[in-house]
Amino acid sequence: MIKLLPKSAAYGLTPIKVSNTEIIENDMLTLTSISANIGKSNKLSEQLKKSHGMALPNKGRATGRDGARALWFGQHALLVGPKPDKKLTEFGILTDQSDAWVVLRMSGDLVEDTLMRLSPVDVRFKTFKSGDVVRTGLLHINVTLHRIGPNTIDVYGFRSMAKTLCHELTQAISTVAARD
Amino acid sequence: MRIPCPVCGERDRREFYYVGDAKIVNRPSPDASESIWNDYLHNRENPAGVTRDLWYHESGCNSWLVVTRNTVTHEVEAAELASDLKGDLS
Amino acid sequence: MRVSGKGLINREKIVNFKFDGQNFEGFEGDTVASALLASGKKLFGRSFKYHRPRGVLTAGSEEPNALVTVGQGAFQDPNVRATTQEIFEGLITKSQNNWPNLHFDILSVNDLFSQFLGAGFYYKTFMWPKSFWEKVYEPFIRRAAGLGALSGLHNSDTYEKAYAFCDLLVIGGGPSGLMAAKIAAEAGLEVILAEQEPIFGGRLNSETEEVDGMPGSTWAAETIKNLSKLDNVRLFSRTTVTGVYDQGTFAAVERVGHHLSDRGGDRPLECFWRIVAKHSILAAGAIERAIAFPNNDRPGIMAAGAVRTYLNRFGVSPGQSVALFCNNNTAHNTAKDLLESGIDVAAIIDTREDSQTDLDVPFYNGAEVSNTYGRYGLKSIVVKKNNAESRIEADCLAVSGGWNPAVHLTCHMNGRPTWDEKILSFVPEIGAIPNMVVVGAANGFMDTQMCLGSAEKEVNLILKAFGKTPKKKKLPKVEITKYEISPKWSVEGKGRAWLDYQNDVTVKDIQQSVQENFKSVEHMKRYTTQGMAIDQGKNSNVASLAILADATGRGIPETGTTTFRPPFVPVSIASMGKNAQGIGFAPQRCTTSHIASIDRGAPMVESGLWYRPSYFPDFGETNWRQSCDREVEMVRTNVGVCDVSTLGKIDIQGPDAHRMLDFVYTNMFSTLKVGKVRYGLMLREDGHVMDDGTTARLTENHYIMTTTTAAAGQVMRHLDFVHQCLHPEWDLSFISVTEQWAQFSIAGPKSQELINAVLDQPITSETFPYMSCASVGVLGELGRLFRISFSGEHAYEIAIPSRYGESLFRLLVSRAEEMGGGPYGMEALNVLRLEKGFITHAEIHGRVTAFDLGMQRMVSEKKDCIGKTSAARPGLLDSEREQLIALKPVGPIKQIVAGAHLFDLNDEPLRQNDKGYVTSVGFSPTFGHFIGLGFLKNGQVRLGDRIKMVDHLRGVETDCEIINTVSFDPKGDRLRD
Repeated sequence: MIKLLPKSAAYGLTPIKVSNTEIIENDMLTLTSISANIGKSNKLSEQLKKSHGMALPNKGRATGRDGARALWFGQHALLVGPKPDKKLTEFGILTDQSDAWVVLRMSGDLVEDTLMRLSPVDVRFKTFKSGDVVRTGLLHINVTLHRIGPNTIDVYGFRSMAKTLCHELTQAISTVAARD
Repeated sequence: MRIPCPVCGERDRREFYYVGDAKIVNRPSPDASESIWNDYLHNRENPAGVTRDLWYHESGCNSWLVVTRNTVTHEVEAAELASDLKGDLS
Repeated sequence: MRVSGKGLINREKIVNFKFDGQNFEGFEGDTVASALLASGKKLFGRSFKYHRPRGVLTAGSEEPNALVTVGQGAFQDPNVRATTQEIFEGLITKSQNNWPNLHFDILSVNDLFSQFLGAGFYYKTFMWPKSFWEKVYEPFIRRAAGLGALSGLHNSDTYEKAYAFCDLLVIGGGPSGLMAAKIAAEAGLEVILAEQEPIFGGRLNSETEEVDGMPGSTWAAETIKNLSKLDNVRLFSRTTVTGVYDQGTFAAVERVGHHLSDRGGDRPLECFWRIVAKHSILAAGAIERAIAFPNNDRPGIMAAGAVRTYLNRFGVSPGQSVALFCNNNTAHNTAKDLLESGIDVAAIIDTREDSQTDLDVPFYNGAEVSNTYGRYGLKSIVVKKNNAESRIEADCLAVSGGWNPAVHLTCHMNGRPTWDEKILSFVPEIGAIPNMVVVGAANGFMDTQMCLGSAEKEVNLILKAFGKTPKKKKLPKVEITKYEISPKWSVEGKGRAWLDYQNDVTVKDIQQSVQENFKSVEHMKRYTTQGMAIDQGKNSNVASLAILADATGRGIPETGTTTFRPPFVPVSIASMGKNAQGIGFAPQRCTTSHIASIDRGAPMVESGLWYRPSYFPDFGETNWRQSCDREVEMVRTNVGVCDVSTLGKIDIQGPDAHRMLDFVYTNMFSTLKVGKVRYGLMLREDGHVMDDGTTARLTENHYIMTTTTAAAGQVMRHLDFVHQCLHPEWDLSFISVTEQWAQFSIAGPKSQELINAVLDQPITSETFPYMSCASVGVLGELGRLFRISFSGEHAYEIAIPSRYGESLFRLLVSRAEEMGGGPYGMEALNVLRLEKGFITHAEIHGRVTAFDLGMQRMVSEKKDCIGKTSAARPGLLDSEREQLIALKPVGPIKQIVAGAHLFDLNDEPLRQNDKGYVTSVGFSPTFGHFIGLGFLKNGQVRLGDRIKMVDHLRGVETDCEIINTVSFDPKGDRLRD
């Protein structure tokens, strides 16, 4: 039988390396948007803990660890990693978003300076700490930024804009790298 | 201009979409009088001073906000979630 | 002339550069101005209007005269201040506004006619004949007057924009700014210190004053060295804060690459910063002003402070024999420094009767300079004391008319500076900028001790606001020098006394302005052009106001100032426009079939941010119409595949999902059966159509709404508005899934055969009738199938998670081709829908109602919905409104044009006879003629009438017949087949 071939959102666009800063695609993730039914957010959070080991994140934060995280995502939360437990639907509404986002993992010394050139929010690592999530613009693209570690962030952007996103990131890192 | 989003914190105005007078959260009932509907749809104050208007945090949390600001001093006094008002802006 | 043992330049490193084609040498650390002055150069440029020879006046960004063009070709930057441009190896500079050359400039004849060219001469001279303004006068004036020019070529320099956040922004790195930054940083605040010069220290680098027992410049360097060790301080040199905006937002330009040889590549030339600061301290210092005396614009006549800067910072004396003319005591320090360096000081002329000096120089108190000589460089001056005139030889005259606090930024939010009689200048209005305080000379404190004291006091208050306690430390020791000044604005005498060098404005021009009743300061500015152009009157404003006040008999405070607006210094459009040109202008959205479409040679068209294939050219096809016609026929007779992923898709779930749909759509969705799709119409609250699309009910509480491509964002905002603002009590959730699903339309008589080739479970027309929807297996993956049609054919839309989009598209297309079908693009899609009378946003353009579209019956009587009340207003249901119609050509001219207007056959095609307009057109290969959709007054009852279509712009006039909007298969049998 013929099989459909999957292609990741940033296929052919990554990896990108400028100086010691690198962008790779965190691809083929299972992403599920979750929002609680009215009055059910505590129960949903408990269920999330039972099913996947992390509570619902507070605003601007992520819970869990690599492989199973929940990110605050504005009006929703985004479960990143595991296939969602059906039991979650007792308290919340789930929507598969696995193919909706391009997730770029950027790491290296220039990450902080690069983000400063792109987003109108305070992304200094002093204030944008590990586990923080911020939804903002990256030039003209709406993104969600998730600080993973010391010099690493995940950028969530619309899948259809993957090419532009990679272009803008590359250009910004290059101008930062080219400074003395 | 910066708007203190109750969810995301203070943000640059370029993250927001602007609509205008926050009175449109007070939607009249379908059988309200013509003058009430006319007022709701078309009539807007243009104060030199404090005004309340609706902004949508489009590049952020996607919340609709009622922002209280001063058109003379440009002070932004407050921003509250429209959903907390439950269709009743007083 | 270079002075040994002076200056903060690196004499080890010689730098070669060019000015007007000639080679010059300077040292690392020199500006163009300092290096040229060191080489004995006096003449730097020609003035704006009269082409007067001009030299350097200042040593900073306020320079009005010494403007040069830097670089060449596409990299040419005009109007660069020679006083701020650092030299580097290979730098090329040119003087401006002269022809054929700087020394011999033909247009200097203007100067001979100056009595006719005074203020307001444009308005009086070039009035008639009227047509001459555009054709003769303006081109001539533009050629004759002006400064540098752009190259006209595309500039490929790299620019940058960036955002910064801090607790405290300190603007200006002179003694006050350094002190403020130091105290704040040591107490733990996040500090940004911005300084426009390459080195920090400000005035300390120009003077010889000691701070804490060491030279001021050394103290500044030490302070910076210590600050740079702290990780809560960011030091921005070569950075000018140019504007102040609401809520503590500042604009600043950092010159990143202007001083470096290897221009180009990825390193930005400039970075445009937006700095957000909780508090700010303005420590921008003061700018020296001149005194207006006859012929005070000769090369060699300079600001006294600038002469001191050239001497102490650059080790340059601008003259062999320097005279000083002043009304205050600061210029005496310049004389002192010159003498200590062994430079001849020809005289000090102090206008103050009671002034004194200890210096061993010819001293004239209560005197003034009444004239000067030397066309291309100062040769001598005339000193007038007690009505007796004497001539003194000097090749440089250092002038000080006092100091103006740099209040500019405090005025950017409508602050009005106030007059301070003690220093005879304007000081900032207190509280003019929220959370900004002004310290040091910018606030009128003219000696270092007061500067440091004011910085400490203000920072301590700020620290308190942050809940921090400052470390108790003694302020550095400095000498106490009192600033003493008495008023002297101008000197009477024969010859023009210049105020604004850049705009060639004299004392007489201002007096003339008053004579002609342009007495208000803002009128005077426009009448004389005083305070315009690059320096924005930084040198001349206060003196001009004083002259204006004198001429009108009002006081200076009453006269007031003009409005200082951003930017403080010129900002290149390129830096502000970074991220808004070329590929950075807007994001590109690509569908999953993008590469597959390009592989087939499909030209792409933009649809909002999306890129969609226009058509798919086949062998031998040479224009788009051939391809489009073929694709239309292919869909009508066989099968076609088209990517429709760009339509907005919104996943709506929850027990109240149906309430939301009933409320935002005019028609009912709560009654829609599970597994079915319905077309819906969405209104704005004012009763006009917002969008249309289909919505499918997948399960009891789960709907998928589609929007048009163009309105996806708007509809999402609208749903959020309805939910959050009007009905937060509804238990539902919705999210865009546009990006999650790739969706393809499969249309044509053979569409079922094609769809069954990829479905795990085949369907039939019985099991899956028109307007059905279901989750389906697509080659083992979970997809969704909708039986809907935008072409009028038996058709499906199949959705698959985006990762499989490209694979499925390629597969469907190749299967279709085996069956005699293939892909189709936007052009064919448009023709197919026109043949069916389906609308797009060309029709729902914001001014049409459901009634206009003939869809009034879709507004349900059974429920309320957004826009229902307003749509019922009589004016929106008037039969005289323009209503949707279709057209075909019936005369000899066969063309229908979108945007054309409609007229009754016997009417003149004039505006007052306008009956409607055409919104979309396409050539229908099915019918062999153009079909147009449009709106016509009372159109619904005019079926069969003839009408005249006129396109005045393109000169097309076509006789048309009004036809049924549904040309093709009016009963819809093929859809349901």
